[in-house]
Amino acid sequence: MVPALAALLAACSPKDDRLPILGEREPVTKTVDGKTVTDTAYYSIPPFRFTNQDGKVVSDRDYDGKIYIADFFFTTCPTICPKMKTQMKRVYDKYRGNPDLRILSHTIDPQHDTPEVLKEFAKGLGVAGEQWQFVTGPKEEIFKTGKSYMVVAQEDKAAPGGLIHSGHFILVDKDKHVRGMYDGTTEEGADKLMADIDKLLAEYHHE
Amino acid sequence: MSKAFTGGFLVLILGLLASCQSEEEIKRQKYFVEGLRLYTQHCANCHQPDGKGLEALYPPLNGSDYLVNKEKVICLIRYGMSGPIEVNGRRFNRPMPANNQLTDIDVAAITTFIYNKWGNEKTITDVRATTRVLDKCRK
Repeated sequence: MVPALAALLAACSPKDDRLPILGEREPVTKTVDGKTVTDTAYYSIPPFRFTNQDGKVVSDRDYDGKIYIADFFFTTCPTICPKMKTQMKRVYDKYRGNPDLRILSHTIDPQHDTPEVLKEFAKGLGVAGEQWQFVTGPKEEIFKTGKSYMVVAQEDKAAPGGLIHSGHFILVDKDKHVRGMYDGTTEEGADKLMADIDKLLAEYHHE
Repeated sequence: MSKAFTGGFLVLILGLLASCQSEEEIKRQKYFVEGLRLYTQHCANCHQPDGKGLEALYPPLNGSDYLVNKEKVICLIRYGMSGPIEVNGRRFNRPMPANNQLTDIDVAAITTFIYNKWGNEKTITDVRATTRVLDKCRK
């Protein structure tokens, strides 16, 4: 009784602190050591390929083995983007220089937001180096990538600036599983994100 | 002097003070509160609720030497601006969008809020003064 209970507790307790894995999942049947076992395949971010503020190619491969936060914005957006960048800057300042954590901001207005414009924006925000990437690419690719992060990014003639997009920050783990979505327009949302980043960093630290 | 008399006198004085203050002060507070509401809605995303701006992207209003250009400030609230400016010795060069939906009284309220909060002013910038300035820079 007691060992069984202890085993149960041991199996459960580390998991209590773990962040959930979001997105659709499906059972996968495979053969291990001659036996048929069923495992769960979790949703993961599909491959992507964009150009960053330094004009360099950035792809999903650059984020292998990294925790990262993704978001969508455009530099001339007068509504929620400044709030999101205010909050993301707090996150950046807290984890500046941490080799495990990156930030990936996608512009949804590639026509205006060329790498040069993104560079100027990053500099203005006080961001240097590779930890926080600002990327651009073909519009359809960006909108498709938005969907892959389970957020909205699209054109809308009625919106100020002609584009609408979600104000979410998406937390992605080292295996490209989505581990959390946060309101990027509020201090509370960013606080929650930072608390969860600490938890996620600790998961890898313990393993 | 009887206590009742003193008491009555005090009430009278207080009543007078309250009514003296009220006309001007109530108007100022109306402008200020409305200005705060509009500022929060139209300006604070970039310039921040505390008016301190964001890095070298969005200039500060709080503690900003640019506030001496009051007519320019009134105009840019409505019509926006572009091209580089210098605030507190720092260069800013991002366009500010126009806010054509703001009425003259909206602009007056925002101006009053900004200058009472961060510009050491104690009086309102009323709608007539605001209209005169806006007429000059109307595009």
